[in-house]
Amino acid sequence: MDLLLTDGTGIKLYTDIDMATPTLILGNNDWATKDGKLLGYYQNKGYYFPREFTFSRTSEGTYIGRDGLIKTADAGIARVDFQNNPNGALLLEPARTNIGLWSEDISQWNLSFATVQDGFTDPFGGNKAFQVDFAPEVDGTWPSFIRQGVTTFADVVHTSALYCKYVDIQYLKFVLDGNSAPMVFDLTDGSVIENDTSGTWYVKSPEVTDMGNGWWKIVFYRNETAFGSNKPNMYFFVGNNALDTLNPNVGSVQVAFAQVEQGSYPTSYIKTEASTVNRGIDDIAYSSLQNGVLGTDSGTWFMHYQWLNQIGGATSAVHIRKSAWNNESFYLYNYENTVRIGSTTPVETLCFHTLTGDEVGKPVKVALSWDAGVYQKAYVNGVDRSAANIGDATAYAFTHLGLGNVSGLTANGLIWEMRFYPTALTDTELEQLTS
Amino acid sequence: MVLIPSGYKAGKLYSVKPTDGTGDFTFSRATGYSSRTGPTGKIQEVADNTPRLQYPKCPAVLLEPSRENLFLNSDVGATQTITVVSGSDYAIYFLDGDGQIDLTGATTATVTKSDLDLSGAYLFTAGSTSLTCTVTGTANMVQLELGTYPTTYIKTEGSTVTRALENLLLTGIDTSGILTGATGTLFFKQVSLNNDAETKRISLSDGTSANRLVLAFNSDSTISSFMQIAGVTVASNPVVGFTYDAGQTINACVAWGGSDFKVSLNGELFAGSLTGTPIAFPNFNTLDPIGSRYYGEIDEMLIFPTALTDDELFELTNPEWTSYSQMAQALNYTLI
Repeated sequence: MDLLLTDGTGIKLYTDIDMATPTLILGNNDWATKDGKLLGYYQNKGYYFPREFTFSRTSEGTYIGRDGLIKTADAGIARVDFQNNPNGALLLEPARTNIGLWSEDISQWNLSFATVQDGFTDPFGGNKAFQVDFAPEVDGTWPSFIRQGVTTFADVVHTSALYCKYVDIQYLKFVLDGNSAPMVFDLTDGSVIENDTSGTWYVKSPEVTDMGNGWWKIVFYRNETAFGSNKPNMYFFVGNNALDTLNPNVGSVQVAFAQVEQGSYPTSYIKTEASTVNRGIDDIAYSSLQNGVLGTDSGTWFMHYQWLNQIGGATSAVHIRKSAWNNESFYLYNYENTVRIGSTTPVETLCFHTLTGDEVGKPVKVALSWDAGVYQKAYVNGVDRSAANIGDATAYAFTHLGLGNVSGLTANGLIWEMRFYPTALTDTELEQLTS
Repeated sequence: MVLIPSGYKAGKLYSVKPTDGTGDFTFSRATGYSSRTGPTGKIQEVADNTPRLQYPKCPAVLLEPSRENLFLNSDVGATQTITVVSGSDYAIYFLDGDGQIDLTGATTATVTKSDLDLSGAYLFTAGSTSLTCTVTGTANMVQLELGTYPTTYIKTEGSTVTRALENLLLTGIDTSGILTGATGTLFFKQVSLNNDAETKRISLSDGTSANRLVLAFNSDSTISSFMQIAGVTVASNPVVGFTYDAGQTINACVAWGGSDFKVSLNGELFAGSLTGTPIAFPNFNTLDPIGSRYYGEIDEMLIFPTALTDDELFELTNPEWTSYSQMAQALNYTLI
C-alpha cells in the first residue's frame, strides 16, 4: 500500500513500511473498562493479549458516550469520551467541584418574571434541557431573569459554563450580580455583542462553542483581581436582555447543564442538586513497562492526545519513570501551545515545539525514541522536532507510566491512543507513526 | 498424565491418561451435605467423598472451602432469627421462588432470588449478633454462611449443616513414570472462585515443604510459582504484572528443566532461572505442604515428563482471543 504524506513543503510519496510491532497499545477505538482497570493490549501471532492499566477516581464522572448522550461513570471506572471523536478518547481531568447548585433542574433557580418547562432535548440528545419563558417585568426596573446564587472562593479563578439554545429571543445577558457589567450573547450566531469590562466585577473572556445542533456552550470567567478576600459571592445570572433596546422583553430560550468551578478552564459536567458535588482526579498508571513492553535501555513511546487546556496557562503532563517521579524520568507536557518533552536526570529538554496554524487546539501525535540509554529522536505531527541536545540525556529502564507530578501539574485531556515499542523506531517509522 | 474431568466414583477421579489407573486421583470430602449444578442445570446432592463435576458448561471439578449453612429447614424458607458473629462477613442467598427475604438486626437489606452462579447473593458484615430473616412469599433453598463469598447450596433441616473440606491427591507420580526426573511441565486450567483473603495453592511435592513446586493464586490477585529443593528456593517466582479475577479462566503452565524455570499464563511467558536439581516429585495435591488449599474449578490438568518449549507453552496456554472484544469479555471488562 502506498501512503501519501505531506511534509509541509510538498507532497512526498512513501511506500507504507513494515512497522515494528508495538508491545502495548491503548485506545484507537479499542476501549474496555472495569472497576479500577483499563484494558490495553498487544498482539502475538494474531492473538490478543491484555495489558491492564490501573485506574482510580473517587467519585462519579460524566462523559459523552458513543450515542452522543451524557453518561455517568461510577467511581473507579475510566471515562472514554466520544464527543467529536467516533473512536473515543480516554478522558482525564483534575478534581473539580461544581459549586453551582441545581445544575440541571432550573425550576429550583430564582425565577424573576420567568417560568420554566422541563423535558426538552438537550445538547447531547437527551431530555434534560429546560425552556425558560420570560414574561414582561411589572415594575420596569429589572428585566426578567433566572438566577442561581453561587458561594465562591477568594483569590481564585472561577469558570462558568452553560448550554443555551435559541427559541425566539435573540439576545441573552450574563452578569455576575445586579451591579456588575454585562456580557450579551447573540443566540442566533454565537457572537458576543457586548462584554463590558468596566468596573471591578465583570464577566471575563467569554468563549462560545457551536455544538452543531442549535446549542451553544458558553464559557466565561470571573475576574479575580479586585476583591481579594472580600470577594462577594456571585450569581449565575441569565437574563433576558430586556433593558437593551435590541430585544423585546418577552420570549423563550432553552438552557441546560450549568457549572461553576474553581480553575482557569472548564471540565466535564458535574451534576448537582441541593449541595455542591466534587469529581475526583482521574489517575491512570501502568507499572510493568519492563515486562515485555520496553527494552532495558531502548524503546519508543507514542502518544496521540489532546490536552484540553493547552491554550494559555499551565497544563497537563504524563510521564514514564524508572522509580520515583523526579528521579530518572521522562515527561511530556504542554504549556501555552507548546509540546515539551524533558528528562529529569539529567535535566534536559528533548523537545520544545510551538504548535502553529492547524496544530493549535487539535490532537497531536508525539513519539520519542531511545536506544543504548540515550535519547534519539522526538517527532511531533510527523516532523523531527528533536532538541539540539537530545542525545545528551540518559534513558533508563523505565518501569512505570503515570500522569501528572510534573511541577505539580495534573492531567486534563484526551488520550486517543498510546503505544510503546521495545526498540527505538527508525526515522521513517517515527515519521509515519506521528503523521 | 491427562485429567479431563469426566469419570469418577466415591473417593476417585479418573484420568484419561495413563490408562492403567496410576494417574487416577484420590478424592476426599468427609461428611455433610454437598451439591452441584448437574448436566440439566438443576441442583443435585452429591454423596460423601464423591467428586463434584460442576455443569452446565463442560464439567469441571469443583473444590470449595468448608462452609456451614446457618439457615434451618433451608429447602422451604421460613422466617427465623439466627445468631451471627458481630464484625464477621456473611453471604446469604436463595435459589428458588419469587418472594424475598428481608434482613434486619445484624444488617438491613432485602434479598431476592439468586442465579445458579450465586451472583445475586447478598454479602454483608454483621453489625450485631442477631439476624432476623423475614420471608415473604416463596424463598426456597436458602443459605446463610460465614464467609466473604457464597458457596454451593447445603441443605439443612432442624440444625445447621457443614460441608467438609475437599481434597484432590495424586500419589506415585514418580514411580508411575508421569515424572521421571529433574524436568517436567505442569498444566493447570482453572477458574478461581474468588480472589479475596485466601491464597489458593496447588503443589507437586514429596509431602514436605522442603521439596515442592507451588503454583499459587494469591489473595492480591497475582499468580506466582516457585520451587524449593531440600529446603532451598531453587526457582523464584518469575511472574510480574499478571493478575486474575474471580470467574476468569486461567491457563497456567509451569515448566522446569536445566537452568530454566518458566511460567506461562494465558499465553504470556515469564522466564526465570532454576539453580538446583529438582526431584521427580511423587505427589500432586490441592493441599500445599504448608497448609494452603486450592479452591476453584479445575477444567483440565496435564503433567509432562519434559519441559515444554516456549512455543509449546504458548500453544497450550493461549486463550486464542482473536479480537479485542473477545479478550475484553473473557476478562470481565465492559466494552465501550
